[in-house]
Amino acid sequence: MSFYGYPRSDGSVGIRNYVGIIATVGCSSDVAQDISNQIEGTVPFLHYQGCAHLQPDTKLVERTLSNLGQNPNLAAVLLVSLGCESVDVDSILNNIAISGKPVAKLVIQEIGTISTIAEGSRIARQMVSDVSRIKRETFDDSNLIFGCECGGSDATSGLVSNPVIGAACDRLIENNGSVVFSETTEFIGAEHLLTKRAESPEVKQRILHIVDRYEKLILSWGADMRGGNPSRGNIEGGLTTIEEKSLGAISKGGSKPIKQVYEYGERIKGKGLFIVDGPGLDYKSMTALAAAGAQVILFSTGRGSPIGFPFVPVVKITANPVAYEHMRENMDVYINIDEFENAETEGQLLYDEVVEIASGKLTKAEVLGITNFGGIYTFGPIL
Amino acid sequence: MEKSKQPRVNLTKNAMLIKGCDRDKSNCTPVGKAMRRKVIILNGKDNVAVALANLKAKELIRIETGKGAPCVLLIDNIPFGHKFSLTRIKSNSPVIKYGEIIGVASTDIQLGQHVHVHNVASIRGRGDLAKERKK
Repeated sequence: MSFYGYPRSDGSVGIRNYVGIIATVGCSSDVAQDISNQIEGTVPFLHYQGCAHLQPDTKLVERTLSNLGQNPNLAAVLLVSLGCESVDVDSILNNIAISGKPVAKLVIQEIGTISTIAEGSRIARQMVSDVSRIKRETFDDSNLIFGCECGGSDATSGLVSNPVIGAACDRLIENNGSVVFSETTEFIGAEHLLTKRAESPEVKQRILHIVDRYEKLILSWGADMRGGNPSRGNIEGGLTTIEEKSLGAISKGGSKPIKQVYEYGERIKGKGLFIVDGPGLDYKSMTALAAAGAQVILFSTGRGSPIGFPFVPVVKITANPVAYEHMRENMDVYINIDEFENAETEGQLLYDEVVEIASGKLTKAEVLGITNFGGIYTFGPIL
Repeated sequence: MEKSKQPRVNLTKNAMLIKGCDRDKSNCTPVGKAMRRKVIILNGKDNVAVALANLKAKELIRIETGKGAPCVLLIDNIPFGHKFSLTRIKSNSPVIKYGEIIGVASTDIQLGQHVHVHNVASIRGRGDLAKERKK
């Protein structure tokens, strides 16, 4: 199966053709937003991180921003820096430049806020004009990377939507594409099923390591995680424990062998199914999927979530009839539980829809413009 | 009712069909072919079933396991997506869904009772228990 995508000089294929206006630190997020507001064809990536972290988190933010900048859905990137942040902005710029796409930076402390907005708008305008010449070409679906996410889960997510996403992911891997899923907190209680699919003893150890590391962090707070995850709404939707939620959540990764486990913000290498460490909180988890290289995110939601992502289309899938009725304008795919026969059949239909979206069909979140916020997850204290 | 007329459910490989029962018929005959699927058991090992409709207390649910057809009389209302017990689950015993342990009963759970946060505890992510152990 083929789709129409944008060729990139590093050999990857974009399904969107945006100029990314990336804030390198929370302090420059407003200015990045202002620049993006001026120029059609740009998207801002906004967050509150980039400064006052312990060193491992500083490195995490650097690699996350570097790899977001390398995502093939961005044709060019403008970095908006404050000037005194902890992250190494030149290193981020150089990493993005390796992918061959145009990249520039502006520093607010060097020219002031208003001049940064003015100069940023000039640079972004030129970039948008330049990249608008890139034409969609036909590519094999093996060039696709799906990211899998669940948010606002209920019982139907684990029963229907996640297994359907898993079936679509299995199909992409059979077609020699790649899939990445995350949400380490939602492996808790189901990790023994993931380790069975680890391709090597090292991968098995890595899966256990990221779950153990996260659980120890939770335990160190001396509180029951219930209420936070599963959340109040998850519980109202019938999910009783994190173990139950996890057992439903992992099915969105399908059934293929797990090739490698990456840290938050890292970019996947190779073909097949991958895990990237990250929280269950969807908008911060989707940042990890986008940094990993996913061009499109398949997102199950039983309770109903409207969120998208700045430059990666998010395909909303629900099997909850009430959520669909109330939030029809947000849901790209509805699976009627009364007519549902098996995940494979629905997974094929979902796959075809995702390929359409890859070729340019807009998701509901894109049409509604619910695409502004990403956010980055960090582990440690803010200093 | 003939088997071929029963609605098919294949949510997962091990899923079993359960249908609602007409309470007025003591032999638990299914109400009819037009009936929506009401309940799913995801795995043969499970001691809970999931409601696929808002079920009412005192409703009888017939379970087709192939090993006879026991009925479960619901003690509580079971909202869509929520679970009820298929057996008596003793306090501290595992609660099983998807063929896996999803937690332990925090109190004795009766057959047909709503199974949720009021009577099931997580085993994992329990910083509160870790804190108590430290004391």
